[in-house]
Amino acid sequence: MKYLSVELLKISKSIESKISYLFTIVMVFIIIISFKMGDTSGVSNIDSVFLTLGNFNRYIMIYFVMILMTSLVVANEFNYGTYRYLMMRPVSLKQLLINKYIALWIFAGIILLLTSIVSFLVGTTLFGTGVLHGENQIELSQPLLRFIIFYIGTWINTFFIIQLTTYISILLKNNINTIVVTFSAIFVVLFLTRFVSDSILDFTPINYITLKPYIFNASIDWSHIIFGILITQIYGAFFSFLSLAKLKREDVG
Amino acid sequence: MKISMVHLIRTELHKTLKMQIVRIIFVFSLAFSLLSFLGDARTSAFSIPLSSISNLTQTLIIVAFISFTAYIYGVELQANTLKIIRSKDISCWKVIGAKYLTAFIVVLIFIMSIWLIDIILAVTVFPMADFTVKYDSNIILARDGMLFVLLAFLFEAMPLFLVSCISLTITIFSNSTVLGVISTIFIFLMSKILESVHALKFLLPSYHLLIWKDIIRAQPDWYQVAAKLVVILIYCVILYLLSLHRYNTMEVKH
Repeated sequence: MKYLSVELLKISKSIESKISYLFTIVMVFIIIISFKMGDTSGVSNIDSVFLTLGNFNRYIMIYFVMILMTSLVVANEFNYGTYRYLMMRPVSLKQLLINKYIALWIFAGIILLLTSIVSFLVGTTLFGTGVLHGENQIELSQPLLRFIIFYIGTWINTFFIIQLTTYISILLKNNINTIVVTFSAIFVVLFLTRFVSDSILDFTPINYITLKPYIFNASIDWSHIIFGILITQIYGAFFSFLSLAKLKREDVG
Repeated sequence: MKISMVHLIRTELHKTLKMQIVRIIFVFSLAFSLLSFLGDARTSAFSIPLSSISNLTQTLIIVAFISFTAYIYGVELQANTLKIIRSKDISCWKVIGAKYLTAFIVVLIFIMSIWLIDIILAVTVFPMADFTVKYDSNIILARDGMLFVLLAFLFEAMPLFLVSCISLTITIFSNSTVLGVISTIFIFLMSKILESVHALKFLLPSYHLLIWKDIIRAQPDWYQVAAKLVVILIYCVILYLLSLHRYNTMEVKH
């Protein structure tokens, strides 16, 4: 727990985290205000929460924020050579990695929560209260449950990008290169998906970057949501395994 | 002894092209552009470079790549060489100007290399036939194809230079390469979303990113191209002046 608080402190004191908070708030305002400029008849505050969370997933903004923060927390240890001191501490590599993961995951949760709260408040001011709407303006039941699933599902799935970026950080040992390579790799993979059938993509995290299609139907598609989260975590665990194996072979000298 | 601008640019260029990050970005962009050979059956060689430029600009990936030109200034921060530069008899406008011009040359090398590799491979594999684009129903003749594609890539260097300018300016202001890169990408994401507000469109940097689309038409829209170039130039000059002011007034600790 001691290391977790150190990591959390490192994140909260960093300029990157402040930029991320600022970016989140500005982005929510921009998304909602630009939406308000269009035809917004019948739009409610709860719709605006789904709109911003959906856009955060669609434009992989949450991924981007987490790539930035993970490169700060992991790759910077190599940039400044502090990983040598970390490896000499009386704590296992597994524990070190888990502490970094948890700290980053908490940060992701805060960012998503901030997004939801700000969009709810801005949405209430601009659109007023109302019901949740799905595709073709159909009214959806259980808005709170749908929000909780969307929020928690997205939060759990950010764990994958943390694990992937950690692995790339350990490989490249430089925060700038980590950001470039991770971001580029995601773009290339996303681009390549147009040549792959949906049945194959169902077994990759790509189809679960946003869980919105499974939540926004008349009935919630539980099986796809649970399967998606599970698949994403399996891929994430694979990258964690690789990270640990690479770290174990790392020379402290 | 006064150091000339050409000498400064040559030094900056030499430094920049040796950077690992620049090479990584170049390899990734090239790999990404070559993906255009996959997918739908092509009937004309000109569709390949156009598909490349479309993929690179419309996915905003090129913004991520180009924003790394911030490293042109970032490398001074990393190596603590700003104090050395300050102690030399070089005017501030030349130091900053050389960095901006180097960014422009790097962008030009970057985009024109993609064009050259794409077009050579494309004409080897596919015939130079008439072609169409999704946003214009008229056929573009094969005899115009080569020139139009070349001009599209050449002019595209200008909005990409704007990306570099934004990135460099933020890096100079924040004294951090990471912040320069990240903020540039954030700005373009925000700008992309704001494009839905019609009144603001023409002022947004992301709106000018697709200048190639105004050229690749049966009848290129030169008025739009000129208007966009003017806006881009104004932005670049403002950003340069802001950076110069910041560089003149900041305290160099390293």
